[in-house]
Amino acid sequence: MGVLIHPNKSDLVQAAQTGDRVAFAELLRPDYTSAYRLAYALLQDAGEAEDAVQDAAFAAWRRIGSLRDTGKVRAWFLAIVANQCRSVKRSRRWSVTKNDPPELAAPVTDLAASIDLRRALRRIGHDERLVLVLRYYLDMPFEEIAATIGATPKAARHRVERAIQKLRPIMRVREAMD
Amino acid sequence: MDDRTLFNRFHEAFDIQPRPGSYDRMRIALTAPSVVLKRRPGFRLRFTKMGFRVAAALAVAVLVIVALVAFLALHRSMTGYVPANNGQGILKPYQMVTARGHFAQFMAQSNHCYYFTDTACPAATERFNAALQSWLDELSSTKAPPEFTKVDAMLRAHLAQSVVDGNITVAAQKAGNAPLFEAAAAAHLDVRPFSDAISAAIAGARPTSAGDYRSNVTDQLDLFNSCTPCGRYAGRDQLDCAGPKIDKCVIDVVSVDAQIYNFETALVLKAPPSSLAAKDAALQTDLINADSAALAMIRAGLAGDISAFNSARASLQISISAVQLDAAAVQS
Repeated sequence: MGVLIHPNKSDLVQAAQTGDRVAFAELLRPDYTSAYRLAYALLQDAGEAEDAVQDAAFAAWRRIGSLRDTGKVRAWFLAIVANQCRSVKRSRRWSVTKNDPPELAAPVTDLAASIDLRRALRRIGHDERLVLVLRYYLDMPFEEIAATIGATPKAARHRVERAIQKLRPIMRVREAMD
Repeated sequence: MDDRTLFNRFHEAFDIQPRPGSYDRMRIALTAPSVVLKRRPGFRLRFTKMGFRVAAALAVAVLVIVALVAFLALHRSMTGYVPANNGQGILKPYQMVTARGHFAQFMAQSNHCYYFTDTACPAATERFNAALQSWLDELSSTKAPPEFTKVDAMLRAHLAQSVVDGNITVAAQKAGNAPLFEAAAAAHLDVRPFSDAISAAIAGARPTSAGDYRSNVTDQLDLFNSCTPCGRYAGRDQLDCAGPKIDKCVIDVVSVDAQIYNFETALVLKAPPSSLAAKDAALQTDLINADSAALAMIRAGLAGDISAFNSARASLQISISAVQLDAAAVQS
Protein backbone atom coordinates (compact mmCIF):
# COMPACT_ATOMS: atom_id res chain seq x y z
CA MET A 1 0.00 0.00 0.00
CA GLY A 2 1.41 3.40 -0.92
CA VAL A 3 1.58 5.85 1.94
CA LEU A 4 1.84 9.50 1.01
CA ILE A 5 5.05 10.91 2.44
CA HIS A 6 5.80 14.63 2.63
CA PRO A 7 9.39 15.02 3.73
CA ASN A 8 9.25 18.48 5.26
CA LYS A 9 7.07 21.33 6.39
CA SER A 10 7.54 23.52 3.33
CA ASP A 11 6.48 20.62 1.08
CA LEU A 12 3.39 20.19 3.23
CA VAL A 13 2.61 23.91 3.03
CA GLN A 14 3.07 23.86 -0.72
CA ALA A 15 0.87 20.79 -1.11
CA ALA A 16 -1.78 22.27 1.18
CA GLN A 17 -1.75 25.52 -0.79
CA THR A 18 -2.52 23.57 -3.94
CA GLY A 19 -5.55 21.97 -2.28
CA ASP A 20 -4.16 18.86 -0.59
CA ARG A 21 -6.22 18.52 2.58
CA VAL A 22 -4.33 15.47 3.78
CA ALA A 23 -1.08 17.43 3.61
CA PHE A 24 -2.77 20.27 5.47
CA ALA A 25 -3.89 17.94 8.25
CA GLU A 26 -0.35 16.56 8.49
CA LEU A 27 0.98 20.11 8.71
CA LEU A 28 -1.13 20.72 11.81
CA ARG A 29 -0.33 17.39 13.46
CA PRO A 30 2.81 18.49 15.40
CA ASP A 31 1.04 21.56 16.80
CA TYR A 32 -2.29 19.95 17.60
CA THR A 33 -1.50 19.34 21.27
CA SER A 34 -0.24 22.92 21.75
CA ALA A 35 -3.36 24.23 20.03
CA TYR A 36 -5.59 22.10 22.22
CA ARG A 37 -3.80 23.16 25.39
CA LEU A 38 -4.03 26.81 24.41
CA ALA A 39 -7.75 26.48 23.73
CA TYR A 40 -8.28 24.59 26.97
CA ALA A 41 -6.45 27.20 29.04
CA LEU A 42 -8.39 30.02 27.37
CA LEU A 43 -11.80 28.38 27.51
CA GLN A 44 -11.35 26.08 30.52
CA ASP A 45 -13.59 23.47 28.95
CA ALA A 46 -12.23 20.34 27.30
CA GLY A 47 -15.10 19.84 24.85
CA GLU A 48 -15.17 23.46 23.77
CA ALA A 49 -11.41 23.39 23.38
CA GLU A 50 -11.63 20.47 20.97
CA ASP A 51 -14.36 22.20 18.99
CA ALA A 52 -12.42 25.45 18.93
CA VAL A 53 -9.30 23.77 17.55
CA GLN A 54 -11.35 22.00 14.89
CA ASP A 55 -13.08 25.25 13.91
CA ALA A 56 -9.70 26.95 13.85
CA ALA A 57 -8.36 24.21 11.58
CA PHE A 58 -11.16 24.91 9.11
CA ALA A 59 -10.47 28.63 9.33
CA ALA A 60 -6.76 27.94 8.81
CA TRP A 61 -7.58 25.82 5.76
CA ARG A 62 -9.49 28.74 4.27
CA ARG A 63 -6.52 31.02 4.92
CA ILE A 64 -3.72 28.65 3.96
CA GLY A 65 -3.00 30.73 0.87
CA SER A 66 -1.91 33.60 3.10
CA LEU A 67 0.74 31.58 4.94
CA ARG A 68 4.10 32.83 3.71
CA ASP A 69 6.66 31.94 6.36
CA THR A 70 6.71 28.16 6.64
CA GLY A 71 8.89 28.45 9.75
CA LYS A 72 6.04 30.10 11.62
CA VAL A 73 3.26 27.57 11.09
CA ARG A 74 2.79 27.05 14.83
CA ALA A 75 2.51 30.76 15.59
CA TRP A 76 0.16 31.22 12.62
CA PHE A 77 -2.11 28.36 13.67
CA LEU A 78 -2.10 29.29 17.37
CA ALA A 79 -3.10 32.84 16.45
CA ILE A 80 -6.11 31.44 14.60
CA VAL A 81 -6.95 29.19 17.56
CA ALA A 82 -6.73 32.18 19.90
CA ASN A 83 -9.08 34.18 17.66
CA GLN A 84 -11.48 31.26 17.58
CA CYS A 85 -11.42 31.09 21.37
CA ARG A 86 -12.13 34.80 21.51
CA SER A 87 -15.23 34.22 19.37
CA VAL A 88 -16.35 31.39 21.64
CA LYS A 89 -15.89 33.65 24.64
CA ARG A 90 -17.92 36.38 22.98
CA SER A 91 -20.73 33.97 22.27
CA ARG A 92 -20.66 33.02 25.94
CA ARG A 93 -21.78 36.54 26.85
CA TRP A 94 -25.19 35.34 25.80
CA SER A 95 -24.80 32.16 27.76
CA VAL A 96 -25.72 31.12 31.22
CA THR A 97 -22.91 31.44 33.71
CA LYS A 98 -20.51 28.65 33.13
CA ASN A 99 -19.90 26.16 35.88
CA ASP A 100 -16.38 25.54 36.99
CA PRO A 101 -14.82 22.82 34.86
CA PRO A 102 -14.15 19.50 36.56
CA GLU A 103 -11.11 20.31 38.61
CA LEU A 104 -9.82 16.77 38.39
CA ALA A 105 -9.51 16.92 34.61
CA ALA A 106 -5.80 17.46 35.03
CA PRO A 107 -3.51 15.98 37.63
CA VAL A 108 -3.23 18.71 40.19
CA THR A 109 -0.80 18.91 43.06
CA ASP A 110 -2.15 22.09 44.68
CA LEU A 111 -5.83 22.10 43.95
CA ALA A 112 -6.69 25.34 45.73
CA ALA A 113 -3.94 27.27 43.96
CA SER A 114 -5.02 25.88 40.61
CA ILE A 115 -8.65 26.80 41.14
CA ASP A 116 -7.48 30.22 42.25
CA LEU A 117 -5.44 30.72 39.08
CA ARG A 118 -8.27 29.55 36.85
CA ARG A 119 -10.68 31.97 38.46
CA ALA A 120 -8.20 34.81 38.32
CA LEU A 121 -7.62 34.21 34.62
CA ARG A 122 -11.34 34.43 33.97
CA ARG A 123 -11.31 37.95 35.41
CA ILE A 124 -8.76 39.40 33.04
CA GLY A 125 -9.16 40.20 29.34
CA HIS A 126 -8.68 37.76 26.48
CA ASP A 127 -5.45 39.37 25.24
CA GLU A 128 -3.89 39.32 28.69
CA ARG A 129 -4.97 35.75 29.29
CA LEU A 130 -3.57 34.77 25.90
CA VAL A 131 -0.07 36.09 26.48
CA LEU A 132 0.09 34.55 29.93
CA VAL A 133 -0.96 31.15 28.60
CA LEU A 134 1.51 31.34 25.74
CA ARG A 135 4.29 32.29 28.12
CA TYR A 136 3.66 30.24 31.23
CA TYR A 137 1.74 27.26 29.93
CA LEU A 138 3.07 26.71 26.42
CA ASP A 139 6.50 27.92 27.59
CA MET A 140 6.99 30.05 24.50
CA PRO A 141 9.90 32.44 24.08
CA PHE A 142 8.96 36.09 23.57
CA GLU A 143 9.91 35.90 19.89
CA GLU A 144 7.28 33.22 19.26
CA ILE A 145 4.70 34.96 21.42
CA ALA A 146 5.35 38.05 19.32
CA ALA A 147 4.76 36.11 16.10
CA THR A 148 1.52 34.71 17.48
CA ILE A 149 0.04 37.99 18.66
CA GLY A 150 1.45 40.03 15.79
CA ALA A 151 3.76 42.26 17.80
CA THR A 152 7.48 42.80 18.32
CA PRO A 153 9.25 40.65 20.93
CA LYS A 154 9.70 43.74 23.11
CA ALA A 155 5.99 44.53 22.95
CA ALA A 156 5.20 40.90 23.72
CA ARG A 157 7.37 41.07 26.85
CA HIS A 158 5.63 44.26 27.97
CA ARG A 159 2.22 42.69 27.44
CA VAL A 160 3.18 39.67 29.52
CA GLU A 161 4.44 41.92 32.31
CA ARG A 162 1.29 44.03 32.23
CA ALA A 163 -0.86 40.90 32.33
CA ILE A 164 1.03 39.62 35.38
CA GLN A 165 0.49 42.96 37.07
CA LYS A 166 -3.24 42.58 36.50
CA LEU A 167 -3.30 38.98 37.61
CA ARG A 168 -1.33 39.40 40.85
CA PRO A 169 -3.76 41.57 42.82
CA ILE A 170 -6.69 39.31 41.92
CA MET A 171 -4.82 36.27 43.11
CA ARG A 172 -3.60 38.03 46.27
CA VAL A 173 -7.14 39.14 47.11
CA ARG A 174 -8.42 35.66 46.60
CA GLU A 175 -5.59 34.16 48.62
CA ALA A 176 -6.32 36.60 51.46
CA MET A 177 -10.01 35.69 51.34
CA ASP A 178 -9.39 31.94 51.44
CA MET B 1 4.99 35.46 42.95
CA ASP B 2 8.03 34.84 40.75
CA ASP B 3 8.24 33.57 37.20
CA ARG B 4 9.02 30.01 38.26
CA THR B 5 5.96 29.90 40.52
CA LEU B 6 3.81 31.14 37.65
CA PHE B 7 5.15 28.45 35.32
CA ASN B 8 4.39 25.82 37.94
CA ARG B 9 0.95 27.20 38.74
CA PHE B 10 -0.07 27.27 35.07
CA HIS B 11 1.12 23.76 34.46
CA GLU B 12 -0.56 22.43 37.57
CA ALA B 13 -3.82 24.18 36.74
CA PHE B 14 -4.07 23.26 33.09
CA ASP B 15 -1.81 20.35 32.29
CA ILE B 16 -3.97 18.21 30.06
CA GLN B 17 -3.64 16.05 26.99
CA PRO B 18 -6.18 15.94 24.18
CA ARG B 19 -8.39 12.92 24.63
CA PRO B 20 -7.47 9.88 22.54
CA GLY B 21 -8.24 10.18 18.85
CA SER B 22 -8.80 13.91 19.13
CA TYR B 23 -6.37 14.84 16.35
CA ASP B 24 -7.65 12.03 14.15
CA ARG B 25 -11.19 13.29 14.47
CA MET B 26 -10.03 16.71 13.32
CA ARG B 27 -8.04 15.20 10.48
CA ILE B 28 -11.00 13.13 9.33
CA ALA B 29 -13.25 16.19 9.50
CA LEU B 30 -10.72 18.12 7.44
CA THR B 31 -10.19 15.46 4.83
CA ALA B 32 -13.56 13.70 4.47
CA PRO B 33 -15.16 15.29 1.42
CA SER B 34 -18.73 14.80 2.54
CA VAL B 35 -18.34 15.86 6.13
CA VAL B 36 -19.80 19.09 7.36
CA LEU B 37 -18.19 20.41 10.51
CA LYS B 38 -20.17 19.20 13.49
CA ARG B 39 -20.38 20.99 16.77
CA ARG B 40 -20.75 19.37 20.12
CA PRO B 41 -24.27 19.68 21.38
CA GLY B 42 -24.79 22.56 23.71
CA PHE B 43 -27.56 24.93 24.66
CA ARG B 44 -26.58 27.87 26.75
CA LEU B 45 -28.82 30.76 25.76
CA ARG B 46 -29.57 33.28 28.44
CA PHE B 47 -32.95 34.97 28.29
CA THR B 48 -34.71 37.68 30.22
CA LYS B 49 -38.18 36.74 31.47
CA MET B 50 -39.86 38.50 28.56
CA GLY B 51 -37.26 37.18 26.16
CA PHE B 52 -37.92 33.71 27.43
CA ARG B 53 -41.67 34.06 26.86
CA VAL B 54 -41.12 35.35 23.33
CA ALA B 55 -38.62 32.58 22.62
CA ALA B 56 -40.96 29.97 24.07
CA ALA B 57 -43.82 31.20 21.90
CA LEU B 58 -41.57 31.15 18.84
CA ALA B 59 -40.34 27.67 19.72
CA VAL B 60 -43.89 26.38 20.02
CA ALA B 61 -44.76 27.90 16.63
CA VAL B 62 -41.66 26.37 15.04
CA LEU B 63 -42.44 22.97 16.59
CA VAL B 64 -45.97 23.03 15.19
CA ILE B 65 -44.66 23.89 11.71
CA VAL B 66 -41.93 21.24 11.90
CA ALA B 67 -44.42 18.61 13.05
CA LEU B 68 -46.75 19.51 10.20
CA VAL B 69 -43.97 19.39 7.61
CA ALA B 70 -42.64 16.12 9.05
CA PHE B 71 -46.10 14.58 8.95
CA LEU B 72 -46.57 15.59 5.32
CA ALA B 73 -43.09 14.40 4.33
CA LEU B 74 -43.59 11.10 6.14
CA HIS B 75 -46.97 10.60 4.59
CA ARG B 76 -45.56 11.21 1.12
CA SER B 77 -42.54 8.95 1.57
CA MET B 78 -44.64 6.13 3.01
CA THR B 79 -47.09 6.26 0.15
CA GLY B 80 -44.32 6.54 -2.47
CA TYR B 81 -42.30 3.56 -1.26
CA VAL B 82 -42.87 -0.05 -2.21
CA PRO B 83 -42.02 -2.12 0.83
CA ALA B 84 -40.43 -5.57 0.52
CA ASN B 85 -42.08 -6.97 3.60
CA ASN B 86 -45.75 -6.27 3.01
CA GLY B 87 -45.13 -2.80 4.29
CA GLN B 88 -44.52 -3.94 7.84
CA GLY B 89 -41.65 -2.27 9.66
CA ILE B 90 -39.26 -1.74 6.78
CA LEU B 91 -38.85 1.98 6.66
CA LYS B 92 -39.00 2.76 10.32
CA PRO B 93 -35.39 2.15 11.35
CA TYR B 94 -34.16 3.92 8.27
CA GLN B 95 -36.29 6.88 9.05
CA MET B 96 -34.70 6.71 12.45
CA VAL B 97 -31.20 6.49 11.02
CA THR B 98 -31.82 9.50 8.86
CA ALA B 99 -33.85 11.43 11.38
CA ARG B 100 -31.15 13.78 12.55
CA GLY B 101 -33.35 15.25 15.22
CA HIS B 102 -33.93 11.94 16.94
CA PHE B 103 -30.30 11.08 16.50
CA ALA B 104 -29.09 14.37 17.91
CA GLN B 105 -31.40 13.89 20.86
CA PHE B 106 -29.59 10.86 22.12
CA MET B 107 -26.21 12.13 21.01
CA ALA B 108 -26.79 15.21 23.17
CA GLN B 109 -26.69 12.95 26.19
CA SER B 110 -23.44 11.40 25.18
CA ASN B 111 -20.85 14.01 26.10
CA HIS B 112 -19.38 11.66 28.64
CA CYS B 113 -16.30 9.65 29.57
CA TYR B 114 -13.90 12.17 28.06
CA TYR B 115 -11.65 11.75 31.04
CA PHE B 116 -10.75 9.00 33.45
CA THR B 117 -11.87 11.22 36.32
CA ASP B 118 -15.34 11.83 34.87
CA THR B 119 -17.57 10.70 37.71
CA ALA B 120 -20.67 10.99 35.50
CA CYS B 121 -19.28 8.39 33.08
CA PRO B 122 -21.04 5.27 34.42
CA ALA B 123 -24.53 6.78 34.54
CA ALA B 124 -24.13 8.50 31.18
CA THR B 125 -22.82 5.33 29.59
CA GLU B 126 -25.81 3.42 30.90
CA ARG B 127 -28.20 5.94 29.30
CA PHE B 128 -26.22 6.06 26.08
CA ASN B 129 -26.03 2.28 25.85
CA ALA B 130 -29.77 2.04 26.42
CA ALA B 131 -30.32 4.40 23.47
CA LEU B 132 -27.97 2.35 21.28
CA GLN B 133 -29.66 -0.88 22.34
CA SER B 134 -33.10 0.49 21.54
CA TRP B 135 -31.84 1.48 18.08
CA LEU B 136 -30.39 -2.00 17.64
CA ASP B 137 -33.70 -3.58 18.67
CA GLU B 138 -35.56 -1.53 16.08
CA LEU B 139 -33.07 -2.53 13.41
CA SER B 140 -33.29 -6.20 14.41
CA SER B 141 -37.03 -6.29 14.08
CA THR B 142 -37.01 -5.00 10.51
CA LYS B 143 -35.49 -5.57 7.11
CA ALA B 144 -33.13 -3.11 5.46
CA PRO B 145 -34.01 -1.74 2.03
CA PRO B 146 -31.91 -3.61 -0.56
CA GLU B 147 -29.62 -0.68 -1.37
CA PHE B 148 -28.61 -0.45 2.29
CA THR B 149 -28.21 -4.14 3.10
CA LYS B 150 -24.42 -4.02 3.33
CA VAL B 151 -24.15 -0.82 5.29
CA ASP B 152 -26.93 -2.09 7.55
CA ALA B 153 -24.66 -4.92 8.71
CA MET B 154 -21.95 -2.41 9.46
CA LEU B 155 -24.36 -0.21 11.38
CA ARG B 156 -25.57 -3.08 13.56
CA ALA B 157 -22.03 -4.28 14.25
CA HIS B 158 -20.92 -0.81 15.35
CA LEU B 159 -23.90 -0.19 17.58
CA ALA B 160 -23.46 -3.55 19.30
CA GLN B 161 -19.72 -3.07 19.67
CA SER B 162 -20.18 0.39 21.14
CA VAL B 163 -22.44 -1.01 23.85
CA VAL B 164 -19.77 -3.56 24.79
CA ASP B 165 -17.01 -0.93 24.66
CA GLY B 166 -19.08 1.36 26.89
CA ASN B 167 -19.37 -1.37 29.50
CA ILE B 168 -15.62 -2.00 29.33
CA THR B 169 -15.03 1.75 29.75
CA VAL B 170 -17.05 1.82 32.96
CA ALA B 171 -15.46 -1.38 34.28
CA ALA B 172 -11.96 -0.03 33.55
CA GLN B 173 -12.76 3.18 35.40
CA LYS B 174 -14.02 1.24 38.40
CA ALA B 175 -10.90 -0.93 38.34
CA GLY B 176 -8.63 2.12 38.16
CA ASN B 177 -7.21 1.02 34.80
CA ALA B 178 -6.67 4.34 33.02
CA PRO B 179 -5.01 3.03 29.80
CA LEU B 180 -7.83 0.52 29.27
CA PHE B 181 -10.38 3.24 30.03
CA GLU B 182 -8.83 5.53 27.36
CA ALA B 183 -8.82 2.78 24.75
CA ALA B 184 -12.34 1.56 25.50
CA ALA B 185 -13.72 5.11 25.64
CA ALA B 186 -12.10 5.92 22.29
CA ALA B 187 -13.77 2.87 20.76
CA HIS B 188 -17.08 3.47 22.53
CA LEU B 189 -17.35 7.17 21.63
CA ASP B 190 -16.35 6.57 18.03
CA VAL B 191 -19.94 5.47 17.44
CA ARG B 192 -20.82 9.18 17.32
CA PRO B 193 -18.84 10.17 14.20
CA PHE B 194 -19.71 6.74 12.77
CA SER B 195 -23.45 7.23 13.24
CA ASP B 196 -23.15 10.72 11.90
CA ALA B 197 -21.40 9.52 8.75
CA ILE B 198 -23.82 6.68 8.20
CA SER B 199 -26.95 8.75 8.76
CA ALA B 200 -25.65 11.46 6.42
CA ALA B 201 -24.93 8.82 3.76
CA ILE B 202 -28.32 7.13 4.03
CA ALA B 203 -30.17 10.43 4.10
CA GLY B 204 -28.24 11.80 1.12
CA ALA B 205 -27.83 8.60 -0.94
CA ARG B 206 -28.18 9.37 -4.64
CA PRO B 207 -27.14 7.81 -7.93
CA THR B 208 -24.06 9.21 -9.64
CA SER B 209 -22.44 8.87 -13.03
CA ALA B 210 -19.72 6.30 -13.65
CA GLY B 211 -17.12 9.07 -13.73
CA ASP B 212 -18.22 10.53 -10.40
CA TYR B 213 -18.35 7.11 -8.82
CA ARG B 214 -14.82 6.26 -10.02
CA SER B 215 -13.54 9.59 -8.81
CA ASN B 216 -15.18 9.03 -5.42
CA VAL B 217 -13.48 5.63 -5.09
CA THR B 218 -10.10 7.14 -6.01
CA ASP B 219 -10.55 9.93 -3.45
CA GLN B 220 -11.47 7.53 -0.69
CA LEU B 221 -8.59 5.20 -1.49
CA ASP B 222 -6.18 8.15 -1.44
CA LEU B 223 -7.52 9.18 1.95
CA PHE B 224 -7.04 5.67 3.25
CA ASN B 225 -3.54 5.39 1.83
CA SER B 226 -2.50 8.70 3.34
CA CYS B 227 -3.63 7.72 6.83
CA THR B 228 -0.52 6.85 8.83
CA PRO B 229 -1.99 4.20 11.16
CA CYS B 230 -3.86 2.66 8.20
CA GLY B 231 -0.53 2.08 6.47
CA ARG B 232 0.93 0.51 9.58
CA TYR B 233 -1.93 -1.77 10.54
CA ALA B 234 -3.19 -2.80 7.12
CA GLY B 235 0.34 -3.00 5.69
CA ARG B 236 3.17 -5.34 6.54
CA ASP B 237 4.78 -3.32 9.35
CA GLN B 238 5.93 -5.18 12.43
CA LEU B 239 3.66 -4.00 15.22
CA ASP B 240 4.65 -3.57 18.83
CA CYS B 241 1.35 -4.15 20.59
CA ALA B 242 2.28 -6.72 23.18
CA GLY B 243 1.59 -6.20 26.88
CA PRO B 244 0.40 -2.79 28.04
CA LYS B 245 1.03 -1.28 24.58
CA ILE B 246 -2.07 -2.99 23.28
CA ASP B 247 -4.31 -0.23 24.63
CA LYS B 248 -2.51 2.33 22.48
CA CYS B 249 -2.80 0.00 19.50
CA VAL B 250 -6.57 -0.20 20.03
CA ILE B 251 -6.77 3.60 19.77
CA ASP B 252 -4.83 3.41 16.48
CA VAL B 253 -7.21 0.76 15.16
CA VAL B 254 -10.17 3.00 16.01
CA SER B 255 -8.62 5.58 13.66
CA VAL B 256 -8.05 2.96 10.96
CA ASP B 257 -11.64 1.84 11.26
CA ALA B 258 -12.83 5.44 10.89
CA GLN B 259 -11.19 5.54 7.47
CA ILE B 260 -12.83 2.25 6.54
CA TYR B 261 -16.34 3.30 7.50
CA ASN B 262 -15.86 6.70 5.89
CA PHE B 263 -14.94 4.86 2.67
CA GLU B 264 -18.04 2.67 2.95
CA THR B 265 -20.40 5.54 3.75
CA ALA B 266 -18.97 7.53 0.82
CA LEU B 267 -19.98 4.63 -1.45
CA VAL B 268 -23.48 4.58 0.02
CA LEU B 269 -23.78 8.32 -0.48
CA LYS B 270 -22.80 8.17 -4.15
CA ALA B 271 -24.38 5.04 -5.56
CA PRO B 272 -22.91 3.72 -8.82
CA PRO B 273 -24.76 3.32 -12.11
CA SER B 274 -25.94 -0.22 -12.88
CA SER B 275 -22.88 -0.83 -15.08
CA LEU B 276 -20.70 -0.65 -11.98
CA ALA B 277 -23.12 -2.23 -9.51
CA ALA B 278 -21.33 -5.60 -9.35
CA LYS B 279 -17.95 -4.00 -8.76
CA ASP B 280 -19.46 -1.74 -6.13
CA ALA B 281 -20.99 -4.74 -4.38
CA ALA B 282 -17.60 -6.49 -4.28
CA LEU B 283 -15.91 -3.36 -2.97
CA GLN B 284 -18.54 -2.84 -0.28
CA THR B 285 -18.31 -6.50 0.76
CA ASP B 286 -14.56 -6.21 1.26
CA LEU B 287 -14.93 -2.94 3.12
CA ILE B 288 -17.46 -4.53 5.45
CA ASN B 289 -15.02 -7.42 5.96
CA ALA B 290 -12.24 -4.94 6.73
CA ASP B 291 -14.53 -3.16 9.17
CA SER B 292 -15.39 -6.46 10.87
CA ALA B 293 -11.69 -7.28 11.16
CA ALA B 294 -10.95 -3.87 12.68
CA LEU B 295 -13.78 -4.33 15.18
CA ALA B 296 -12.39 -7.77 16.03
CA MET B 297 -8.97 -6.19 16.63
CA ILE B 298 -10.56 -3.67 18.97
CA ARG B 299 -12.43 -6.41 20.83
CA ALA B 300 -9.29 -8.52 21.17
CA GLY B 301 -7.19 -5.52 22.17
CA LEU B 302 -9.62 -4.48 24.90
CA ALA B 303 -9.58 -8.06 26.17
CA GLY B 304 -5.76 -7.97 26.16
CA ASP B 305 -5.68 -10.96 23.82
CA ILE B 306 -2.67 -10.33 21.58
CA SER B 307 -2.99 -13.55 19.57
CA ALA B 308 -6.63 -12.78 18.69
CA PHE B 309 -5.54 -9.22 17.91
CA ASN B 310 -2.85 -10.45 15.51
CA SER B 311 -5.21 -12.94 13.94
CA ALA B 312 -7.80 -10.22 13.32
CA ARG B 313 -5.06 -8.02 11.90
CA ALA B 314 -4.27 -10.73 9.36
CA SER B 315 -7.94 -10.61 8.29
CA LEU B 316 -7.70 -6.84 8.05
CA GLN B 317 -4.63 -7.08 5.82
CA ILE B 318 -6.40 -9.57 3.52
CA SER B 319 -9.55 -7.46 3.35
CA ILE B 320 -7.67 -4.24 2.64
CA SER B 321 -5.68 -5.96 -0.12
CA ALA B 322 -9.01 -7.06 -1.58
CA VAL B 323 -10.33 -3.50 -1.28
CA GLN B 324 -7.30 -2.23 -3.22
CA LEU B 325 -7.95 -4.78 -5.96
CA ASP B 326 -11.67 -3.94 -6.04
CA ALA B 327 -10.86 -0.25 -6.30
CA ALA B 328 -8.47 -0.96 -9.16
CA ALA B 329 -11.18 -3.04 -10.89
CA VAL B 330 -13.59 -0.11 -10.62
CA GLN B 331 -11.16 2.03 -12.59
CA SER B 332 -10.67 -0.56 -15.34
